[in-house]
Amino acid sequence: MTRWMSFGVGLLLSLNAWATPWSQIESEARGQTVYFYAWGGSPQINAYIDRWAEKAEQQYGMTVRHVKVEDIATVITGIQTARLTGQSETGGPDLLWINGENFARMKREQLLGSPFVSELPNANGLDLDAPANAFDFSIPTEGLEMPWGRAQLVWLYDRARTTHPPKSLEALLTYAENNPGTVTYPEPPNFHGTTFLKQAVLETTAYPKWLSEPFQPERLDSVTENLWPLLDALHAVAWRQGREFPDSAEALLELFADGVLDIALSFNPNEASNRILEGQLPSTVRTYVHDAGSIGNTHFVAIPFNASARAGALVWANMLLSPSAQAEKSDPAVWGDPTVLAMDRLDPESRALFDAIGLGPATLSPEALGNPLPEPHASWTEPLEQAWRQRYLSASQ
Amino acid sequence: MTAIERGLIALVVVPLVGLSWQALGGGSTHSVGDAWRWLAAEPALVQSLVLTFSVALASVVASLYFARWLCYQVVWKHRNQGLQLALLSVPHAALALGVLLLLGASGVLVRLLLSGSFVAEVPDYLFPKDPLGLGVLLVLVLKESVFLAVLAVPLALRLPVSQTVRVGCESGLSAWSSWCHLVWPRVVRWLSAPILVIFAFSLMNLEVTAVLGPDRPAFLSVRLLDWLSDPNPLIRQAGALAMLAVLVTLTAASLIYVRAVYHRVPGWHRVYKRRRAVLWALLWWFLGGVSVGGLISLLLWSGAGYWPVTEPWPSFNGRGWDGLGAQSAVWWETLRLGLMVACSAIVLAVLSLEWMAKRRMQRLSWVWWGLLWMPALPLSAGLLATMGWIGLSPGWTAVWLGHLLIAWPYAVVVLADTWLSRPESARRVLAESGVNSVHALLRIWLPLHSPVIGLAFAVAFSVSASLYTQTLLLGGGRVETLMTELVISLHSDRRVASAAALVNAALPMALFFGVTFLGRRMWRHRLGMQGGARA
Repeated sequence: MTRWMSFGVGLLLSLNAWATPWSQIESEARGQTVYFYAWGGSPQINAYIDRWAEKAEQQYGMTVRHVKVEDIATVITGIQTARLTGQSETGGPDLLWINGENFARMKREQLLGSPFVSELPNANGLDLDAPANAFDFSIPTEGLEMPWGRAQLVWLYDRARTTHPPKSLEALLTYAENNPGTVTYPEPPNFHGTTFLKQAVLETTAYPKWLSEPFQPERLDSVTENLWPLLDALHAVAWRQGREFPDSAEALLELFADGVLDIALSFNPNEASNRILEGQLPSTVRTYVHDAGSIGNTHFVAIPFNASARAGALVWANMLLSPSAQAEKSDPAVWGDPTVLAMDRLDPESRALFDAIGLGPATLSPEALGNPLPEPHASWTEPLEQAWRQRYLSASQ
Repeated sequence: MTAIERGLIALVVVPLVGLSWQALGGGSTHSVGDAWRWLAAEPALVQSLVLTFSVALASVVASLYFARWLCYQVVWKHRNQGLQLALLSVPHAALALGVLLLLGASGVLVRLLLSGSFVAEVPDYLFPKDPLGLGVLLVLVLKESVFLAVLAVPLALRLPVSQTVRVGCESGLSAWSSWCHLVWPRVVRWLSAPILVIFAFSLMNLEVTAVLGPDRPAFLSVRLLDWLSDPNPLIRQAGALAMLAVLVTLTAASLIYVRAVYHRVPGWHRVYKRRRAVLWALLWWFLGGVSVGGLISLLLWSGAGYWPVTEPWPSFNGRGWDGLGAQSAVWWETLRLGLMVACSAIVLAVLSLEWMAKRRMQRLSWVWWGLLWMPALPLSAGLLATMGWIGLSPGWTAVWLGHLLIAWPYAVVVLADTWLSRPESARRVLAESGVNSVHALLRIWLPLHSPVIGLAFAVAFSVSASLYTQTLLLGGGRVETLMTELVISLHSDRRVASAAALVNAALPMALFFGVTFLGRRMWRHRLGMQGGARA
């Protein structure tokens, strides 16, 4: 099966190469302005994008504008309106940073352009058959989005304050009971809050297999039957007794940096190292994962159907996938986002770029990090968020 | 009703058309009933409504009380209005962030108390993100009382204040009691339009509620923005429907105020002969202290490195400024947009006022306040829906027009009192001398009114610098200003957010003081022009 898929991808690659030579795409891109819509809350990520945008201008004579967004879901609304009003090639994004339920919605509502990953020369460095690249929250990507980076949930603690970090959800509850007010999580439907919720479901459910299948309403109660009692108990001893939650993982990290919280979480295994190097966290901070493993996924970039600079978007996406861009991105001193490139597909010179990057002071080795737990099917996200809101928002009335 | 006023009404109505189109199912396959059912199933909606309306009402009442004292200080005690203007120029979001960093449970104040051993551990209190919205109320009162006071001063100056207060004193009242019972109620009658504007702003603002408001549940404006920008068409439709319902309620509340409450304002007050101003002075200086402390907190955080809660001062590494400094385009965009908006607003305001002056109009029509009354969220969401409906794209021009729509009436409001109260004799002399209107405008009226034009210019710039919802929605995210930078960093990086907030506060503040200084310098040999910068 895998061999057939590889053959198919190879065939597509060759067909596309035959259809539109890459050099022609590059010359089309010259002079274009590419609007790259991506989360803009991190100065390090913004600076990285700006640096590569400058390189794009120098190498290809195109302008890349990073449109900073707080929540990419809001951008999808504009694309839906464009689809509804029959607008194309006007005012929308040319490339989007997405994954999960946003990709699922865009694919379902046909808001994405034609498959493009196979057109990119640097896609040679990708293992397109790997589940992490071929599926996004259990939805087949089918070349509609390009893998850009990897994420895996890690927990942060300060060795100077916490000697034995809790390595399961039950242990987290016990820790919070012994140290009231020092544990919390971002509020769903914030992306990281929902990720915590998914991790908690994966750790507590008796039906993990159901989570990889499309959502069925009658399964919700069974899947979450162990989750709610645990969260109820956690909230009672959590930061501010669960009456308030941080708005985001970044806000959670700030409370952790202040010394108010003992445990924080991040979806970037290198984030703690990055913050130590930036002087935002003490050097005694370390990361860990739960014994049951931790949820992980891939984040992607996609081209919407109404991109006005498709050629430019392709060239920009190809740049982002280049070994040098990927290596720089994975450096904890820059961003620390793990690469999506398969090392065995790279030439020695490109591999050397990655070999030169050391593990950050708080980064786990790949062995310690372990294989990521797969994300639940995208269709579970909204029902889980809604159930959380119904339970805890209504309770505050 | 004049042609300009009809045009302004159309500007208010057009966004409502877009919003109604969305609420009735445009862009969605769901019925209005589905949207209502979705709204009815939303958790804690009633709590959000109660919180939003009660904080808005409380902020208006408290702002009126503070404005009464501030206006008294300027008109009766002849105190300088510089501090009020400085506070007026600080954008709501910047001040809100400052208050959060100062008074939050791990804020600067707690850090000082912890390091001085005044408290043993980080207190577990829900402020400013308290369930009663007290943090939001604090910032709204700070900003809106100054706004009301700045508008109230020229109105009070129309009254025979000295004689009135003297009569009050002869009847056994203190000067402050005379002001409260004999002068202020008459000023409040003229302030009815601004009062409705600040009520609408308090009800629907995002700038303060998103920073200081509680999360469970959030203020209605925060939830409305989430709904209106949700990719699910049903939720968007429900958001538009809820927005229309809020607007209907707001209209009803405004009519009730104008018809019932407004006529009873003087009757509210029981006469206290020796009413004391010192309580208000203390309360105001407490609020002023919070503002200054907030700005200092922004300054500290903008340069802070690692800063554990037990340390009174941070280690400085300037990371916030590095992050913001790298975004030089954002600085220029804020300046370019603000200056373009301010210039256009002044040109439009002068032309419209000149047009009114020619027709011997002495007072500004309520329609000008209509645009300011219309909350930013429905105005922008409606404009956006209308743009989508007619096939226009968001971008810089849409943002400029969206900002202008708010800055123009503000400029008119600031200029109107001076412009429309020209002495009849001056008109007659100019007409008899054969001076044409263009010549009169360029050679006489513009130089004569230049101090207040400078102030209106600064106000228009300040409005542009502080607009977030319009910039975000009408720009499709492509137009970045210091305000959008501030909001994006708000929940992710308090250092960059603090730096953005400081610059965003400093630019309009510098402009306010710049125009005041320039006005005084230009007219230093003309005694009568020295105090003309009062709106």
